[in-house]
Amino acid sequence: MPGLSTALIALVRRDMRLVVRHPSEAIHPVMFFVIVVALFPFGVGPDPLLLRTIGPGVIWIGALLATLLSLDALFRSDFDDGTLEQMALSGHPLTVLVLGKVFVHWCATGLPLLIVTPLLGLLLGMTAQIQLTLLAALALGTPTLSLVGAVGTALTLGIRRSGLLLTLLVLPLYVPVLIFGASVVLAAEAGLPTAGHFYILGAMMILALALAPLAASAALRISLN
Amino acid sequence: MRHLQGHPQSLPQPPPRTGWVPSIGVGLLPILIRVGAFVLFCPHNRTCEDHLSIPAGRPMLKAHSIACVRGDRLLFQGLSLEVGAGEVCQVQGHNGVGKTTLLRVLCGLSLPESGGVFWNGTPIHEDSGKFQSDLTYIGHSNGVKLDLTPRENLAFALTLHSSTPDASIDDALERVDLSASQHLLCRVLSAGQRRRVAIARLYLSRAPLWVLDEPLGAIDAAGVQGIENAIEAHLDQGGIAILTTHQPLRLQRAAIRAVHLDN
Repeated sequence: MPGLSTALIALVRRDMRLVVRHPSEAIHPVMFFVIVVALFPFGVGPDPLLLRTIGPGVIWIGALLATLLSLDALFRSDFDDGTLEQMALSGHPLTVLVLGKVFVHWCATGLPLLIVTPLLGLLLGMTAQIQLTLLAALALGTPTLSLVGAVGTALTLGIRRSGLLLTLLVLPLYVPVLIFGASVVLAAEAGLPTAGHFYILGAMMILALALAPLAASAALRISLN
Repeated sequence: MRHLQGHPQSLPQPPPRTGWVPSIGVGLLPILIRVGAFVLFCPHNRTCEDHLSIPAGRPMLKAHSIACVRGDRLLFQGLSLEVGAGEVCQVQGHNGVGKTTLLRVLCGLSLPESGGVFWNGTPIHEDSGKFQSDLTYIGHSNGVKLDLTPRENLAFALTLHSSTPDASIDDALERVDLSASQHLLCRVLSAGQRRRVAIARLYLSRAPLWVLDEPLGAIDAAGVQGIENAIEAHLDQGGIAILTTHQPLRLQRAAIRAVHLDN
């Protein structure tokens, strides 16, 4: 289907170009992430043992909140300026176009989180091997966050000031990712096998990859109605 | 799943206490991948035409007894409409009477409360890919990205619809008089110029059905003349135009059919 793939590539290139022209949308979530994680040592004290225990959870919650903050930008500007209508009427399956938009969203927000995580791991006293485990978990988990978040954003698109509703809708769905993403690091620290956790994280990502674009495109059509 | 295989923490023999987790994971993964692949790729197997021209048979848009509700308010009901090749239909009525809603229903963005819309005899939601490739819609909002230049906006619109591989963006920009500002961001253009970027999509389009919501808004006299010429050329080729406008539309060769919406 050459028409679809060229349209998808054009969409991804357009969104990448918009991110480059408006880098604040990509920079603010990652700055938020760094600040939230960096606040914890001030709040709970500089005890290295305590920081190492709560470290993975703190980083995951930071990543969750940073993703949540960035979600509104996913469809909002396209919805406001009418390009979303054009996409919905393009003759191409909206599901695939949504997948392209989520991919760019992950590149703009998920990837920077991965890049700064080693720095924060150092701050929280993690060893290199634990950091590697955390990075792998984030690499599997953050696409799930973007995909699930896309469904919530698409549903709340027609509502003004939808930020809080989006949070209420999406955060409970993030809980499984948080549980397995944080516990895989704790398991690695305790010397336990981590393969099972990774399988579950991977399964959740594949499930989200398969179902979230369908749900999000249906929700977008409802929001456009 | 390459992450997993290369990971130092993956153990070949998990201890019995946590053994069920990997085995279920291993068992489920191929199934999930297959389900995922099926769900992702199966519904989109319909062919996508690279080139599109006006169908040999006479194109026809038909709305049958549609009713629309906005909130709790009934906008209109029992509205039937038939527009054929070479015809232009102007939807008239005062503000808030439901003109935009009607156009959105006709192009399938909104669902009517009752009734149906048919393109060449087929309900538009039955073969929406085909219908949408036959449609050019210029809505109330321009569909223009403010952080892109007019040229980039048009290039994206052209690729997205992929209906006219041979259409020239230079020519379209020339016709809406934006050649001089084609490399400026749309953010710095005036409202009328942004509207012209949206209108330029008409010159890239070879779709037989044009649905235009207030195409003349914010456009100056020379621009209005250009749009009228474009609509006439489109009708001469057997196209269909459905539009709303509060300004009088002067077409030389085609008779305008009016649909009055009234409470």
